[in-house]
Amino acid sequence: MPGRKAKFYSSNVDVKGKGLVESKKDDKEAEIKPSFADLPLCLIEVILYQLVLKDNILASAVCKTWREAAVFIRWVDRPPWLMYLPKRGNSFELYDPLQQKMYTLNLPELSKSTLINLPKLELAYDAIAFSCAPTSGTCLLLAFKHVKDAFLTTTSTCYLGATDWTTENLDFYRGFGSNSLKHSNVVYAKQRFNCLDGKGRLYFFEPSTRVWHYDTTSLPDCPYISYRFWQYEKKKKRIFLAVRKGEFFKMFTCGGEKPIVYKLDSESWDEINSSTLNGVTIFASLYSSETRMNLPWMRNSVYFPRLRYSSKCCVSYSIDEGRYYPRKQWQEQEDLCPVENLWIRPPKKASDYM
Amino acid sequence: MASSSTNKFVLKSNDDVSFEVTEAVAREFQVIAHIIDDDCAKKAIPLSNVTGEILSKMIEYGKKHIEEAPVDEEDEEGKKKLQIWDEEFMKQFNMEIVFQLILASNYLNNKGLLDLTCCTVADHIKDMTPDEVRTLFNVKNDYTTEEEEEIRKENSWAFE
Repeated sequence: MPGRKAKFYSSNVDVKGKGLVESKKDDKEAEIKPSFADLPLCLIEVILYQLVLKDNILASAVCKTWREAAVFIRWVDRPPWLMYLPKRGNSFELYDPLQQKMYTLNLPELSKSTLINLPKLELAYDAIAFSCAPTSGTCLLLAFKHVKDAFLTTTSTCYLGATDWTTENLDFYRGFGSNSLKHSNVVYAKQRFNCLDGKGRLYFFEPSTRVWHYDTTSLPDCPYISYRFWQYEKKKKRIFLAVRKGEFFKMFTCGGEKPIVYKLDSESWDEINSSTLNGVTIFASLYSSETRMNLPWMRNSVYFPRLRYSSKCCVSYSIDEGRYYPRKQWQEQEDLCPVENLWIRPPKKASDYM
Repeated sequence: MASSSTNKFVLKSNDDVSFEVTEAVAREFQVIAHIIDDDCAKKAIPLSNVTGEILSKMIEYGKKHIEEAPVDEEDEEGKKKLQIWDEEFMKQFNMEIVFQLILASNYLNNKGLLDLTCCTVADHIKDMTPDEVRTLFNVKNDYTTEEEEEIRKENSWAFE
């Protein structure tokens, strides 16, 4: 193939600056033994497409052409971004934890004129959640409040566009944890609203049947909420719920102690360590917790947002290394998961907004 | 038009080796099938990108897949037999030949052979270090030390 030969020859002289004799020698060798870097990119992709993620990453270290093909077909998650709720105006700050960059976006679609109006809700609720993005049309809202002495849960639901909330007192009573640990964030998954109570028990509301259920899986004795560990008693605790592809993760935090993560298997909540996390990253915040797989630089870690005035915008805990990055500098859990920010999926083409 | 079992076509490689094949075998290669359909196959069909050595191997593959084609989708035994033959077929080649076969099966558009050859390469890559891959597939490392270090750091778990 004369075209290929010429290309090989010139690139040798240009890039490596080799002498003519040497290049000719290389050229002959190349003719006898073809280089798999010279295959058309689409064919390299067909080859690398057969590989699992680990081998794909190894292949990307072979040469630049292979890397181009490998990265193009590599299926990896993108991390969520941290969104700071503005005190006024339409100017939002967003933080990309992978690139460690802060962006300021003007999002007029989130201004008051495009607010989605909901009917007035009388209930003073414990928690409120959406089933999906409010722009999707089938979005359902759930608000609920546990009435402690009546063993009831006041449950209100509302579809977007409805003129009223549907409110019922349903027979359901959940256990309260300590005063500092009431319940987790609410996550819509498996066609139901899921939440953890203060003891870490999963409970959920099915909109189709309008019934609350408890998950009956026995609970692990998490030291942070166990009466056997008095040293944690006075510390501030939080509990988080995250779902990945139908798998439930729960996480307890306690002061500056390490986060403890459990995964719900068919029969039990199993505590996760670096060998069983399999590359998951958990992004925890007060209102939303997200999980991602195999993110570069960020595997087997928990990411917390942090107050804006701090120099670095995230705190992470590496489960592999058993330490926080940066090392502990905060006093309380409030500093780790402040009220005014949450994890969101970044726009598909974020560059359009920049 | 005569039936495809009696109709013969001549394929000519770029080093002037001619092969006479039945229409069914010729049609195993999409590009040649189009040439036949366009009625441009009266004379020998010249294939400017394929050597006689490679073309003979491709015809061997095409013939086998016509003769031993599984009876239907349910014919698990037939599929298995052909799969074993495919594996044996690929074992005789070094990587230079595999390289040529990939290009040629892409050029003549035979998806089965393209998949088979690419899978063979992928099977070799599995569990190999980048250095081993470079040696086997004759790939030059065009990274600087710093660039390579960066790639390793980015996903260090894969390199452990």
